[in-house]
Amino acid sequence: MNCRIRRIIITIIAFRITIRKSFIKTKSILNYYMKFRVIISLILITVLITCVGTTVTAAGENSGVLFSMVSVTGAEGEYILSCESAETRPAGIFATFPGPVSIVSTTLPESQYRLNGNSLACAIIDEETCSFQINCADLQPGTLSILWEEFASGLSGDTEISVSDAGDVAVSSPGDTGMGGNRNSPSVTVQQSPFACIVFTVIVSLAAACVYTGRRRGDSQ
Amino acid sequence: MKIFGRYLSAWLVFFILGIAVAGPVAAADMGDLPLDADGDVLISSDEMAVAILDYLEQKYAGTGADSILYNDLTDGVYVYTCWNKTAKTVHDFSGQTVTLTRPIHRAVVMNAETAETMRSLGYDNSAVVGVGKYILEDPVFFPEYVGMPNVGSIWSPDYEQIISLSPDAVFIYADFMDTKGDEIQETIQSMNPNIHVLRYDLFEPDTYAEEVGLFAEAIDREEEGTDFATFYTRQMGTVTDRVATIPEDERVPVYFENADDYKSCAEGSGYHDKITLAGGKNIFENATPSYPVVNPESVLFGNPTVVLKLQGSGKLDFGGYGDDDSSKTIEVYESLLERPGWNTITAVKDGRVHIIDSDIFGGPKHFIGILYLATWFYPDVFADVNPEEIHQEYLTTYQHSSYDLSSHGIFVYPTTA
Repeated sequence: MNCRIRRIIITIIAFRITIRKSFIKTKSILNYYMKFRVIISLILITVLITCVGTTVTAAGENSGVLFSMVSVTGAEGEYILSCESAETRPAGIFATFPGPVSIVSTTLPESQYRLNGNSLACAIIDEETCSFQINCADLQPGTLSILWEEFASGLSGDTEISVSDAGDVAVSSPGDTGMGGNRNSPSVTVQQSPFACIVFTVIVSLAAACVYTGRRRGDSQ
Repeated sequence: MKIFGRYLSAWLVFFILGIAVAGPVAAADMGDLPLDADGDVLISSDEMAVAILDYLEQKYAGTGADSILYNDLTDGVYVYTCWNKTAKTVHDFSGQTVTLTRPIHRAVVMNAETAETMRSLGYDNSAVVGVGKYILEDPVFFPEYVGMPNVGSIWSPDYEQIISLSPDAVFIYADFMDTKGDEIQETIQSMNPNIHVLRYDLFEPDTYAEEVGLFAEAIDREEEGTDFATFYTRQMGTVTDRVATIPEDERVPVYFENADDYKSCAEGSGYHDKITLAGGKNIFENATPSYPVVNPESVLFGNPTVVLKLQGSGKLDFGGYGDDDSSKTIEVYESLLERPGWNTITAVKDGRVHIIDSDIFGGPKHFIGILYLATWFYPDVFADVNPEEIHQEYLTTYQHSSYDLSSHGIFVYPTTA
């Protein structure tokens, strides 16, 4: 995903440099570009946002388990750990805390998690999201390490959630590892290509630019 | 003690017999639904949760990952998510109803028709662990199976090889050589009762679309099955709908000959059925047996409007996908025209003698051959139909093949009507 964003940014920068260079010699064209640089930039930025947005959505919907954690205001050592699972459930999560942990409340049924000393194992089966309000005094400062596996896709990964001295929470996910699920499972709906979305955005932006140009011309006359 | 000693040998015999009987029973237990702890043939979310939590604790806090537990878990997840939490009942074309409790991970495919249809349904061939002799003998059409274990042919299956591959399912013919199919199924299942033997013919025009549906269900490709059956039915419909408008007495008389000179076909043969489907009237339809050797003079007497000659097997084992050189086909074509008395036959006089390759006249590709026949029989009615284009669409879209018909293969001669 990062590569793709980087490629798009490089393409836009290269495009802008090319435009600048090609317009330097012809003053009138340069003026024309300068006049509409805001609109051109707007079009490029809109395309960029669309690309990034679609990529992020696709990544989020394809597979994997995403985690977040916030501290509970006014309750020392208490946090809400949330996780969001993709469509390729069921998934298993194994979390290891830096010290003893207790569960204050959770959205999961009791049969779907086991707490054993510093570790918490849970099964996400039909749920899209789940959360645990936990109490772990050793988390500030400390690191919670989470391992997860998706059994349909064979995908697994790990996430680390660190809490600093000041209580700031940082989540890092180094990446996923594919083990290869059953390649002959029934076909699922394929993610729609972002191409149509980008084309639509470009057309709308160009139409807006044309209207804007027309008005400017009308005003100047 | 004395009595016990006297009957010791009898006890031993009973004990050994008990073990022998318990063996297959224990093996049959492997066919149960994975993760179904309460035996209600349904994987509940609680049963799924227990399996996931046991696995996680064993892998991350215990003795390490257990492959049996992991396999049960992934199979259970498949059943839970893809089969609505329960076993899947499928039907084959021999009338069997088979209950699958796990997805098919290892398949043996005995016949080429099944291998080809699998590809049309987008089945990932990594699950295929062994194939029949005739599939291996066709590396141009089945390059993906080159080097795969050979399980023999329907005439001579290599049972030891089949069992050694530990397949979940073996695919064989349904009714083709029916008693042989029964024999193969019985032998395989007597050696390992846990192996599912699923039977499909997948070559007959009358039943192909129906069989595709049943087969797609068995390999979890229902959506692809519907799509492919629609394509196939559309092609066949093009022929049957138009032929239906041609009165019986206006059907073109056809002489068909296979690779052997004057060996024709009659009612009860697949070739006759295909000629009839394409709107032809087989001049030897009432002959016996189904593949009669006919008198050369009776061909002249029958005066066919169209002559069809089959290549690709027996004495004429050339052409098809594996051949780009048409010289042998042209030789056969010219020898037909030079046969004594054939210059009096309408088909020869009108330039309506055609050679067709068995690669497109049998198996799942029979519809391509039927399309060619229809365009030859009724060029005006089928002027808008291009069988080569449909053939290429089949190869590219459904066989996922890069084979280019414009530069490879000898399937018909002459190439233009």
